[in-house]
Amino acid sequence: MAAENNLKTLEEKSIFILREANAKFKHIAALWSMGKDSTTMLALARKAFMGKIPFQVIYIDNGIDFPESYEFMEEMVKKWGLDLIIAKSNIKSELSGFSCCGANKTVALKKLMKEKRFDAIIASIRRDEHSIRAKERYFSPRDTSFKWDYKNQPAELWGNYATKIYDGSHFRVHPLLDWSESDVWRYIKKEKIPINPLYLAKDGYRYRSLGCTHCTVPIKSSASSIEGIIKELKITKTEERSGRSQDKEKAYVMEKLRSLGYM
Amino acid sequence: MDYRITLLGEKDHGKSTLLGNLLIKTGSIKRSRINSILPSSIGGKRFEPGYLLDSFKEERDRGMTIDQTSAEIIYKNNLLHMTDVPGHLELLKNMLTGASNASLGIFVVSAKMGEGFTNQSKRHLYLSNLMGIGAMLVAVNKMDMADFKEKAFIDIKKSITDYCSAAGIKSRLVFVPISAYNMENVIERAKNMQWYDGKPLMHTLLEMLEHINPGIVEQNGMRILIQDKIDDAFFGQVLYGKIKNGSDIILHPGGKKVRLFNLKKFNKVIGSSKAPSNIYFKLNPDANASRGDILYGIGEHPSAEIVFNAKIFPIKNISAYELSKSKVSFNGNYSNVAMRITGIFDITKAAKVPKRKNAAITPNYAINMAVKLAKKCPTEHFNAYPILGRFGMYSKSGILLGVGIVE
Repeated sequence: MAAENNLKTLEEKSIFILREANAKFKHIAALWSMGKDSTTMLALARKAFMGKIPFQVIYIDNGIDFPESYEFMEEMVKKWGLDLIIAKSNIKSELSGFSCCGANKTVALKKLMKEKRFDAIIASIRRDEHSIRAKERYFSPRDTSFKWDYKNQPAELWGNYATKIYDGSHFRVHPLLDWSESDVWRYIKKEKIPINPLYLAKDGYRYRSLGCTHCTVPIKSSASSIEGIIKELKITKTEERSGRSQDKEKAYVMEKLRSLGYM
Repeated sequence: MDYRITLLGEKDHGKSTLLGNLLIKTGSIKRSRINSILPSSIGGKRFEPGYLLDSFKEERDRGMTIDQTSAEIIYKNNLLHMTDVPGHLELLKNMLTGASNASLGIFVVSAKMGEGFTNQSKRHLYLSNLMGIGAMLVAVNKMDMADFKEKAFIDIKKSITDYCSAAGIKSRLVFVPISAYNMENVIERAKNMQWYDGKPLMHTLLEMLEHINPGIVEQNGMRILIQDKIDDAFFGQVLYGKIKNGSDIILHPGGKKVRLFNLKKFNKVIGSSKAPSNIYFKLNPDANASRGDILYGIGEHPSAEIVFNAKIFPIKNISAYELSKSKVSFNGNYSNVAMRITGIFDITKAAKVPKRKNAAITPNYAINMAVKLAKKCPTEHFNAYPILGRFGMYSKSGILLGVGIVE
């Protein structure tokens, strides 16, 4: 597997999208999970806006993230001067997968949206993460109940991204849509972006994808550096999210989650 | 090398099958994904590689592709970003989105009796040329259903070549006979088509990519598009040419001479920047420059700012009367400008070339018209500076009516 995306090209496009979002919307915010993708997105935003992120950063806290993640969060807030909003959600039951995520993060985000009236939310999803995400656009509208009308998506012509605002609804902005898992790691290495230490191997295990403590399963790995992760990715046969139990359910569950408002 | 490619063509002609099979046979897709589409997991139906891309359950059951799907194929050290687009009339709008981000197209047309080069296929070809895809690899598919006969291939090749001459399509076309389902002549040389002396599809594709000749001759001027103003500085994109820090430039609309300084690339001070590039800069004097304005090199100017001729390709049915009465938005330079159609002087059917006045305009037609903008907006001839010479045409309520180019 030798061919790789051109990081410069990807960076240019992502920065363009971030600047475009800032130009077209009045009140934007970005979702940050302390994961590698959303942290990369923040690094790109710092570059795009000459060192200072001009929008608020939202962390949806269901109280059961890894302690390392909370520590990482505090470090980064200090280091990058993040204007952080923590939206708290409660876990209703011991269930994992669809019911849990549906009840948790989406509800907390909806509540926050109502309160703060953001007209666009930056999310760090990538097309290669899951086949459902392959259908997403750089600018994707959500109606007031967060539903995603995937069959009737607005046309994107030559970079003239659809951004007509309907009352009470909002847009999702996806600056990392064209990035692969490997692109993100190579960029992290190139730009020396700080990452959540859970991604690096400890005692023979590491996390390839990070959710909350109830749903995330570590993988066997000896990759204790970013270089090691990049090497490991080149030979791996499994998909990135195979450690996330919600994905093990039927494929269309993801579609359901998306159209209900879950990222 | 990185390339962007669009797969175009009518539904059921085999685009998804081609892409699905390529993903599998080049090893570009992970095992777990392939396993999810094996017959046991899809209710025992025949194995269809196209299922890999039909990630929506409904799509799978209906046997069609909705909207745009992209996949990456790794082939001989190249990363090919392939975008599969649907071929249904009612999904034409979404197809425009798929075509617009690509530099080369693979046009899949079926050689099977009863399928072939249809009106919908003609429309795809015409539109993609309009959208800037200059070179097209025409994959004449389902050759197995035509008994691998050379005549079937030659007939389709002739239909398409004749149509392109008549419709004024200047794209470079290269024809390759294949069977996507059997992977005949896709990666390896054709076994069943000894009469074919060309290379297999993937080899041909790489050759074409290396010599992309878009058929659009770009000029040597400089164009910087202003994206946003922040405090006393600007974000912009160098669309064409090169800018040096400290240069005098002309701001349009208006034609005022200003100096560009404090040029930065993200957070770094730089001496110059070449297209394509996102930059930060200041202007002296500021001249109230704003989003949508364009910076030109000294001695250069827009082809048109208020009045110009355009060719429009509608994406839905509209009557000529409706069209001439509607106010539409010119969106070509990140600016929305109201546009009034001052004259329709030619309607050209995408299938043939005769003129017909007072016809209901369907997506089979291209319309030549005279246009007047509500305010000055710098535009360029599409053939010179395509990014600044093309636009989306919208109704008052924001529905996309068609796409157009400045002639």
